[in-house]
Amino acid sequence: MNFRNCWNLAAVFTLLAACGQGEPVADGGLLGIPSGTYAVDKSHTYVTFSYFHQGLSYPLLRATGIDGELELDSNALEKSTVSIAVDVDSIRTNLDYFDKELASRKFFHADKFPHITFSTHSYTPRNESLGELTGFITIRDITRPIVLSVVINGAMEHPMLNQPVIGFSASGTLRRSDFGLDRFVPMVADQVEIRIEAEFLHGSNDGSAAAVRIAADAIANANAASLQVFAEIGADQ
Amino acid sequence: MRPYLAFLFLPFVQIDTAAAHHAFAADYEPGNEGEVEGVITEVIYKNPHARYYLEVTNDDGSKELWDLQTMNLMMLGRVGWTKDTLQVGDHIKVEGILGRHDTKRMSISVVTVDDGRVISPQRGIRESSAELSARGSADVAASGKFDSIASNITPGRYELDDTHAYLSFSYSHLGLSNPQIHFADFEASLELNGNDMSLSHVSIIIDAASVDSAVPALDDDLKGADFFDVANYPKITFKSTAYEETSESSGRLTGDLSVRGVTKPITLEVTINSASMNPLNRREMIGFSATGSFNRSDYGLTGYAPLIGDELSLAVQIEFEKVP
Repeated sequence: MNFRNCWNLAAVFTLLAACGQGEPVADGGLLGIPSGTYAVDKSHTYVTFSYFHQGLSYPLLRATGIDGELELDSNALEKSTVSIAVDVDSIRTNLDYFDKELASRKFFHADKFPHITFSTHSYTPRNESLGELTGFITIRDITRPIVLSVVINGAMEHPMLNQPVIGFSASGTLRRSDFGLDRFVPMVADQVEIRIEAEFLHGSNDGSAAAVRIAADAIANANAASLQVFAEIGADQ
Repeated sequence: MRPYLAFLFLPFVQIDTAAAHHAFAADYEPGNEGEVEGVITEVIYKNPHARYYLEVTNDDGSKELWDLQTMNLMMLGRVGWTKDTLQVGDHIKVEGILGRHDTKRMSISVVTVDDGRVISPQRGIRESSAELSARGSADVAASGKFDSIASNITPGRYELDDTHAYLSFSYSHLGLSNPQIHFADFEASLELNGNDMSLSHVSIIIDAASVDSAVPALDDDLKGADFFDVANYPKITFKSTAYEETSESSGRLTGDLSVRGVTKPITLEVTINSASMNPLNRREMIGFSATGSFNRSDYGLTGYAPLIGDELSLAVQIEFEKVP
């Protein structure tokens, strides 16, 4: 079964149904699923990041504690927003000592800055499945803009959970030194590539709502320099 | 953690390099070139410079010992020069830069070996690979199309740097997302021959029970009888059978993948990211990225279709260090 093809035809509701991926939902909009709040499906969401280590390899680190919500406007994707909070303590390297080092004040300082957050500035769809998500990422209380390339892999009525679901892949890069994470640059590269594989299920829950509040607080606390960057980005749009 | 320590030591490495340059000007007289002929009595194939002691017989029958210096092993490795290139007992004629103050030392420019080879640490030895091959050297420059960047480092056995090794796979979940699943524990060893990559071999042994999806319930499913069945098949193994170079830093690695008691060939697209000397511990290192895929149904991994797509995509990030 090729779900991607199924999705590409999603605008035509009758063909979506013909794909056999569940009935299109009434008021399905462009995606065949309703507008509204969608929460991170924590068992189907992966955030990984990697960097060039001494020119030799790209270690593949990941964060496992991810929560947040998507406010989907199924009829106008550019009006959709997503807010995410990642537990710094959940970053895993496969090496216990490295996990501890990353959580320490040498890096993320998890005791003081327990979350990495993302808030949406704007979403620019290129077509129904591709787009650019511009937003603000906050690490160690430092807020910077980031652009993520987004692929909407699919949207449908979940065949087992019987609720609307939408799935994404996204990727982007940041410079860790922008966030005070500048140890061992340039032996260990400054540029960090982030990859996100995420599914969102229709509805909200306590955890996802809390994550949205954490992300909103980070933006509210962003310093003046960051806000200036926001304004410049806004002017570009 | 190694890279961090390496970073801390970087200033010392730079000082060392500067000192070495200073030493060259102090010890040798650029422009003052000469030639000596004799028999090698000792080979010191170590950094910072490989050295050869040469017993030279003068016209009057007296003997004197000359100290011949080349470059560091990494630069020698880059041109295919190894510890076997010149050996004790070889009769050689050497042109080079003479030491100052009439010291019996020389920086080697060109070596003519009495077996006919004319070799240079600056220009390489590949022209003479046939002769080297005849000597039975395992690290002969190959006649391959590509001059692999792995020839920067010494052929031989390399061991996994398990602090810089990541093995993961992904699949399409309902067409919605591509979960990233890791194997936390695996071993690997590499028999490298950068001068002829087709002679290199790698093997990987994965602890199947170390599969880690970050979702405990999914881990249980993946370890269970419908998937990896780790109780009956605790190891997943890969043994390379062939490497076909596609550039000096990439190639196709074919090997036998054994999962759940089924062995089938798969091909990985390999990139050699770097092959160089670790500045801290002076061990030679090589780092790879590799990707590939296989259909899980070919190995009897039939569970959870179609929730989990048939194709499993593999991603490997791995570093090896030369076994001392």
